[in-house]
Amino acid sequence: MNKLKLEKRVLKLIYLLCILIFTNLALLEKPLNKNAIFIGLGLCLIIGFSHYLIRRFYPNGDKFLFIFSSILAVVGVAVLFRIDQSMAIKQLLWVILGIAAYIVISVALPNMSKFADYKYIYMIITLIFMPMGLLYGLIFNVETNGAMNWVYFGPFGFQPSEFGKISLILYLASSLKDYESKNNIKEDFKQLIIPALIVMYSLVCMVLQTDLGSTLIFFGISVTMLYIATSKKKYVFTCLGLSVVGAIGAYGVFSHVKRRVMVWLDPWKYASDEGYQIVQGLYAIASGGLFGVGLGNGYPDLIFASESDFIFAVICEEFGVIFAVGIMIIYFLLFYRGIRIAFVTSDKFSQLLVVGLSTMIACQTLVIVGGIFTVIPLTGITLPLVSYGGSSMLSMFFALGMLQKVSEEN
Amino acid sequence: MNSLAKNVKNVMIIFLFCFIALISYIAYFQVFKGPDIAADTGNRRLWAKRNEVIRGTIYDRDGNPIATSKRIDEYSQSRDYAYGDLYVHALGYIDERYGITGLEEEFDEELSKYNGFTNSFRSLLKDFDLKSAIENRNEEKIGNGIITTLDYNLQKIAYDALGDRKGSVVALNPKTGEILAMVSKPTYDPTNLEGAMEDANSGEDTESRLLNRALYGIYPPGSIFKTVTLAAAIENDPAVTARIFDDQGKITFDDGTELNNFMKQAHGSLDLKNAYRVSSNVVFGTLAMEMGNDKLREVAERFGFNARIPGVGISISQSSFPTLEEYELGNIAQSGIGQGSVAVTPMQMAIVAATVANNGVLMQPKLVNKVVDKDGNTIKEIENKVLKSDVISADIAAIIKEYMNYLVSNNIYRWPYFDGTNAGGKTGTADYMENGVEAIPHGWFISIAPVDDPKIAVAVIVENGESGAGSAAEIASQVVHQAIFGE
Amino acid sequence: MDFSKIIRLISGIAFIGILYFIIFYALKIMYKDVKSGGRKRPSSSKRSYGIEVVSVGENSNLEEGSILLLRDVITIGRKEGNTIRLSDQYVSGNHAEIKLKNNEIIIRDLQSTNGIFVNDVKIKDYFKLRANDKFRIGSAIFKVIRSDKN
Repeated sequence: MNKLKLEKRVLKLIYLLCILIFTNLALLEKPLNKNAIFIGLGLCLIIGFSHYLIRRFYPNGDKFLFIFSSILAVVGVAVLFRIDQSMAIKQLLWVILGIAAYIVISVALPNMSKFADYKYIYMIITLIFMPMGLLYGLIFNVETNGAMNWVYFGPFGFQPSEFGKISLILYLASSLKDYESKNNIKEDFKQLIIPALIVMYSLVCMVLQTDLGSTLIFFGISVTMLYIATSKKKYVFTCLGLSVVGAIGAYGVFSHVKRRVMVWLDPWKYASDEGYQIVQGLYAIASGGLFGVGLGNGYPDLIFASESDFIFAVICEEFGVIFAVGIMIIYFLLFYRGIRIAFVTSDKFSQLLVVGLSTMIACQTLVIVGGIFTVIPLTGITLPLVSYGGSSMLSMFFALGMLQKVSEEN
Repeated sequence: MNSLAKNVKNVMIIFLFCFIALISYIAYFQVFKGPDIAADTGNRRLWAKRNEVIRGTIYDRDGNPIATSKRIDEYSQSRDYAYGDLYVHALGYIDERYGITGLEEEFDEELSKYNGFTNSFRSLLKDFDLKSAIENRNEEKIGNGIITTLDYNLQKIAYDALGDRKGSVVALNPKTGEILAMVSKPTYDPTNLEGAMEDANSGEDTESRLLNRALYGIYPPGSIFKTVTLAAAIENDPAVTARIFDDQGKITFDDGTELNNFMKQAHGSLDLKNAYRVSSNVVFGTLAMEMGNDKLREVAERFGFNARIPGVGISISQSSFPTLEEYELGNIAQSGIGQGSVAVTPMQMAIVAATVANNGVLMQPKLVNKVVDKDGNTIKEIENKVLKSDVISADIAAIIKEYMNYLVSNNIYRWPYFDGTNAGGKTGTADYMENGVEAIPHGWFISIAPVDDPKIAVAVIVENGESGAGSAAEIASQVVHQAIFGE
Repeated sequence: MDFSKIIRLISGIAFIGILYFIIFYALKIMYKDVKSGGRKRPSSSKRSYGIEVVSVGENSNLEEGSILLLRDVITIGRKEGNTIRLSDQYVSGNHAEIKLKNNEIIIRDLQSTNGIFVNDVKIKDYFKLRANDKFRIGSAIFKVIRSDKN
């Protein structure tokens, strides 16, 4: 029971962090900003209640998935509150919806293994969702921030690729689970060809939508799942080789790819036009130092897309790099807990599913943080659970819900 | 199932490696590259940070605000100048794009400083009122103010008198070193810095509006330098005051070159006092040759030549007096009359006049008297400082003052404003070459008043003003008049 | 330094401190998990349950003392296809279902004619069994046993 005590201590620390951050936010204005206090308390209540629910129904399930996600959600809502209060409230609503979905999936649904045999359904969903953004953009001649991955119904917009991501993972899990190594290149290849085509189709859709970040992530997830399913390192290297060829090709064919790479190589040269976003982000991060300039003392409005792509830069500026690295550690731990669930189940579908979803979280984090720090070219990816965005938040909680569900199995 | 475990472990390790690599890079970036990036001028945060404190006000010597700031938005403030371009060179400018100059730069730290801790912590201890401390936590931060030494009336008179001509006027209080007026023409509009910059960088600029000629304009002094030569000559040989010279209008050197009087006028027999009055090149060129370059240079250096004179709220360009070989008689003679490679700033010549006025004691020129906080309480007082206590002896100073007074008294009819001021002065007409051709000389005038108990020392230069006895003297007389009678 | 700066300094350090404490404790818990063999042998960290045949009754195909490991679901009845087939005439075709979920054992009466008796009490619809509970179906008596071996 010592574990339970420690767990409760962690929860209390989360409440403390939440209350402190929101109190600080409240004190930033004069007189006191009551909204901040309400949101802070509200978050604590939601987290406490949800944790209680999960523990009551499935005490064998993984506890850390929810704990780590709630930390990230708190930091996300807090930073968004700092940037724009109305955005924070919208984000809070998405968090609540997300957690609700998470609880429904982890409590009410049957075992994930029951979902293993719907590979054709998943394939169709993937085929529909992947090009949705592109088609919508082409038909209605709409572009959002230079990319065409949004679809609007009236005042509401969503990113179909976020949901396509989930269906792709489901599809790959269900089609690769039956893979059996026959030690015969032709036979093995036959088993893999359809999944490979679906993956390539998705990648092409993303490239055409100029959503290069998603391309990278889908690629990472697919290769990882392939490796887990086949245990063949040579497939991995073949894929890597093909991807290099593809990347060079894309560089040559697509001007926007070329531009991204040029800006990445020397952002300072393009500081006044294309590299402006990155450079402003770097200024923000550098100004934050190790301990940050303090909540409310940074200048997030100097950063473009501070609420989505560059929210990590805002965290670096106001909370400092030490805190930001802590957040990175939390993401890694989330990935670790997620992928560890593969050992808890013996169902191949569930294992693949779990690996795919965890890899998705890790890849997304690495790609966006890497882009902000110019380790890799910048792409328009959201930081999971922290960036503003309903589609992103919902799809993440779907993924977490499925992970939680698998961890409860057996 | 074992292969699954191995595979998953491999994947885990790869991602762990990626995360560690990224985190290490983040750490490296922040520690090594961060500080330079944060300090880069493109980082608007630097200006936003500066903008946290509303820049302090600059006042004239009577406490009237001449430059005030108000906040426009989160990132910028605007500086408002109550008198337009009247003080523009003394104050300098502060601009996000173009940087900081002048007094704004010299006292930037004080103007940007907000003594919040002392204010709120002190009041915290005094009243032990935590509640009001919390309530006032977002109080408006206003920087400290500066009370300058500038006198509005003198500055205005000098500004108006100089008019459309190019040049400079510097007026000091000889006893304290206070800069009562500092004008440089042409001026620029401080509210249109961009336009001034464009003109200056256009490549066709002949105006140099942004240049503060008083501190950075370098000119040949011409005959006003004879004041220094005079001091050196008396020091070199006290009997020189009784000497009678024979001025035939020119000196001829061995190599055939000549040094002429103005208009090649021959003055015949004259004593030192009159030689000074008529500004005889022959006499002073001869004196320079007799005492030698070392002596004259030594005295010049005591007056501040060949060194950077430290000032408060200003930085002054170095004036130069050459080192010459013994056989360079021609150049030595030229140096004695303020030509050749002698080069001065108007401020340097004002300091020469002030030192003479102050009995040989050189006071540090200061533009600022006090630093005050936003509520007007004095934080710091700038004391009068003696830079050099015996540039020349009081006796020699007295003689020079007498000669200067003699000069003015004999020319009152030309410069009526001097009437009743008991002023002394010296004219100067500085020849110089431009693009290998002789240009119209600059007109200089230095003045001290009243001679028996000097309140003011002035130096005026009118670029291409022809003779100093004309425009420059006229301007100086107006300034002196205001100083004596305009209380 | 004024009040807002003091708040800033304290908060900044507090946030970092709390976050790393959370990470520290989380790691500590995970370490304990790993130490108690949680990672490598997940199924053994949970308790395993079994159904032991206490009394054979009229059933010829049962053996007294035999233990059936309770995994997911065990069905009991006379019909073929049931996990435990009973030949007793007082047993219905599909008599009972025993489900193990989250360390909870639920025995459900599948609308049998003669019912199920747990610890000599006839159950209504379903009942939550615990270790060492005895239940009777027809003439056969079973016991729920638990092993805590990790």
